[in-house]
Amino acid sequence: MKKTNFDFDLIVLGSGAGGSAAANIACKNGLKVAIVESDIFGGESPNYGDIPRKAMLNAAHTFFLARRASKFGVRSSTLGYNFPSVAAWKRLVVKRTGADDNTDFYEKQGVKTFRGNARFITPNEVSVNRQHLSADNFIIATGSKIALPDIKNLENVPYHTPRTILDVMRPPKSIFIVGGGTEAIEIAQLLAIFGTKVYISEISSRLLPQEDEEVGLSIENTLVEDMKIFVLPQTRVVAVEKEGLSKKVIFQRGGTEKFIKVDEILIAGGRAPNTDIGLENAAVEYNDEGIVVNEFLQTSNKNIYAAGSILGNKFTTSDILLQSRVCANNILKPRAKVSPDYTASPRTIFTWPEVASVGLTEDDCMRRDLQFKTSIAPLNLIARGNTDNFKTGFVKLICDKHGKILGGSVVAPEAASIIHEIGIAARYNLYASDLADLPHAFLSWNEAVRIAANRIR
Amino acid sequence: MNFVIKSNGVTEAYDSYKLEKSLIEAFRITKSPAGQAEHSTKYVLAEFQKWVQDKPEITSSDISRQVGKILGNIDPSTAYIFKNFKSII
Repeated sequence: MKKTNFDFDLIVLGSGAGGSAAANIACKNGLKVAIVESDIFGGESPNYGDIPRKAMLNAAHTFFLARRASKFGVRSSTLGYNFPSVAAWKRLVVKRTGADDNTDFYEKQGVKTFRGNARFITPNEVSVNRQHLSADNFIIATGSKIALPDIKNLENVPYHTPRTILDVMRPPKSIFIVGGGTEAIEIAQLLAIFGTKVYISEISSRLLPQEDEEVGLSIENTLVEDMKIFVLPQTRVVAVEKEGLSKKVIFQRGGTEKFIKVDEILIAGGRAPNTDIGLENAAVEYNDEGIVVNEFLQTSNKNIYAAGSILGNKFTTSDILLQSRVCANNILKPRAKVSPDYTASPRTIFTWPEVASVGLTEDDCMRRDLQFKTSIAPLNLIARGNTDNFKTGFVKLICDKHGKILGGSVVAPEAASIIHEIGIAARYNLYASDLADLPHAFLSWNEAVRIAANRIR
Repeated sequence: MNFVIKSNGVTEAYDSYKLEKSLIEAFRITKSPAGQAEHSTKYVLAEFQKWVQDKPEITSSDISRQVGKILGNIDPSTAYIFKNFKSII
């Protein structure tokens, strides 16, 4: 690292998944590092996103499965839940992550922490509460914020976001969710299990339009059949109104305008990158999607890198952690830069059953004009499906014409764990025959991977 | 209070009166009707105030860019004149 007169070797803007890992790696490798956070230390995922949502989903799924356990001879006459205790459980889990707005974690590693909005005033300098901090390198990981959809009168009607809905004192009697993505589906299921009447709308023709059709239809079937959720695909919410204590949601579906009255509205659609940080003063290019970077995550200013949802709305937390490590590597080893490889990055939804996918989907293959083969192994073919009385999920594999694994999807209990086998195969160019030949533990869910692989011809 | 770092490096308190004067001058150059100019100036100042309130320190180029953006949505020709002032603050 060349000698400079700057205050720090590296300043990281944002302490979420995109910033924290890089700050710690750089510090451990001898750089003088500062991290600036405008909101809560630890960022979105552990404080408001993945972690608290999963903690509450765990409680919800335990309750849901216990209610269905009579099939196995298990009965309880006093089965119930206490929502404040569920909320207390969520808070405990967040606290145990060590994030929870905790600066000690960074300070102990030697990373200097600053709280406030950072704004570039020159390419090597940011202003944080009028304190000027300079550095040789920067990583921008300022994340994104909820982008409000164009819904008439939304500004005059109270609504929830994925961040606020987890803090409610009790589940609402009814809720209308605008958006059919991962967060929306998880929250829909969580609330439905705790007794809320849930409507979930999506502009596309099915939920999870970015995944294979079977995945979207399977999760829709679970939501409708098992959770009694009202799924409204091809629906555009046009206006909202307040009517006493209720809210009226007016939407267009099938060419006609309809309305539903609910207690609460949740806006869980798109997100917009937090780019209002003086990027022009640092000569960093950006557009509506986010900051523009090259394959090494380097911005138009070569000393400034970027990671996370500031780059766009398509990355999972595991992708963002990978980007953070890549940024740190490229700053530490400017002559041996690496690029993030998303081949084996899993995409997961922690519903019941879990949904996970990796690599290419059928649509991806068609867009790339690839010849491909697919196979599906329903879970009712394996012994575990029988012992656990779970028969609706599946494992799907996508291979090239020679049988090389390109990707796959899993809808199953523990799908988020099962998917790694397919991820490794896709990453290291394994063939379906390699997976089919591998002995799989009897009574494991992964037996379905072997069967799917065996069906590729 | 918000502060502005000028292009010569000097920092001074943000003065909305200076910005108002620059806007009035820009509207005068584009020969906007007086009522419209007054209304647009008030609108731009209010929108800019919303934007700047959580930013303790900004640069004079930030002002030029942000005001140009707000003005551009309602009066592109005045926005062009405003953005090309040599010195506004």
